[in-house]
Amino acid sequence: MTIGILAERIHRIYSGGIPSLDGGIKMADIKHLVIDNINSLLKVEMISLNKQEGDNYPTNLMIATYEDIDVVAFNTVQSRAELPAIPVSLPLGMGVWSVAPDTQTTTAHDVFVPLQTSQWSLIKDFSPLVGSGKVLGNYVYTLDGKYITFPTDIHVAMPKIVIKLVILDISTLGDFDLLPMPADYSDQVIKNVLSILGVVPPVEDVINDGNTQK
Amino acid sequence: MNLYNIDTVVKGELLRHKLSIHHYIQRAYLALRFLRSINFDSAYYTKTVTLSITANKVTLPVDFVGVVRLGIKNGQFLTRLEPDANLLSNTDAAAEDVDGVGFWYPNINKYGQNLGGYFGYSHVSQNSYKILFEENKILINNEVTADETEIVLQYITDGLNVGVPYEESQDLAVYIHPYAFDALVAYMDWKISSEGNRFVSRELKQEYYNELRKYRARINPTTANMIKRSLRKSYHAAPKN
Repeated sequence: MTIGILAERIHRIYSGGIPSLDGGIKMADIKHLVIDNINSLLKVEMISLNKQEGDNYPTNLMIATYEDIDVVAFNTVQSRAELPAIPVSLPLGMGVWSVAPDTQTTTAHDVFVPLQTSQWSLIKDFSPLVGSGKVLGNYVYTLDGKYITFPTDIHVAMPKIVIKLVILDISTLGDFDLLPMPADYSDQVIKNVLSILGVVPPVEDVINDGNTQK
Repeated sequence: MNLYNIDTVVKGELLRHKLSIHHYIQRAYLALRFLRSINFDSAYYTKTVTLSITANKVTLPVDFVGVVRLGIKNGQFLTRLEPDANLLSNTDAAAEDVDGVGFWYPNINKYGQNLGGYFGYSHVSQNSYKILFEENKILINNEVTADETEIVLQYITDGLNVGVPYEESQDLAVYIHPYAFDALVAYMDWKISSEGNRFVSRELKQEYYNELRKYRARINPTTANMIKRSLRKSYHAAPKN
């Protein structure tokens, strides 16, 4: 399944046949709706289904890898990198699944340890948990808006990093690229998008008891 | 010596619970808290350092918690110094100003004749020291510093910078003894389980104390020979009459 095929299907159903060029909605809008809907489903699956089964890791389909991300100096003592996309919102900042040094520019392999915003100030003086901007020898980072911030300036030692995000990023997909989506999602995505477009009416309350069915 | 890196243990625990690196920091903190706790009375781990005396004082090591032995080198042995609360921290008194000998007198009758015998003399150890927590230093008796330039200190540490890699390369690795591994894991399980819950798991608490008991038993250096030697210390060869 590709984003192009999925969008065309929705467009055809929305138009009630062969879509006209001057139809009420553009393909690009449908693609965005599709991606947004898939991201919601992925999040629901991770939190409601996988976690219930004791699986705390996202499936491979949820992970987008961004390489060659620049780390730049910031605030004279810190450094930071800009997130290539804003990931799905998950507890403990798990939307940013991992941040690791680019092994092409450094020999380090360990992923960095994430801290919640302001946690650094709580632990920075607790030696030897913390020393030289590291926690037990691991580099740490916090998430600040669209940036990943490192409490010390590491841009010389780590000029490039690799970031893995929990997201289905539309900017990385062409019309004919395989859509990294579980096979059983297509039907649900089509229904959801059409519902948003107003094609599928909301469920009626079949029993006249004043209790509206959602 | 085979020691386990705390960082590796914590990451192993994340693996065991199928957790991501996002849960690392909390467990790392708990691991160090556990390590600090067991080093006070369970680890039987002490550090021995030789420290230079400057102006009758010695600066305490950064990881110092309490004294086990403090003394001066005597060949391959240690001549111990004893704590003396009466040492004054700001004194530069002469060596002969010794506390506790003020009532020493000879036995003299009313005619001023010395009848022999001396009284009031008490033994006072001049091999003494006093810990000045307010200055982060140890004050050494003048009698000692007159002849010695350094002391040997064996002390209890919080254990948070134990391990050769830490001290040599400053890579901040912290290590625990393999015997403590199960107790550490049980401690983290117990503490993590109580988060966000109104009730602490009694089973996990019991599990922790059981593992701690096993750890203390394993690490305890006491042997049957040590007990025998201790008992036999009271027996001496003596002349018969």
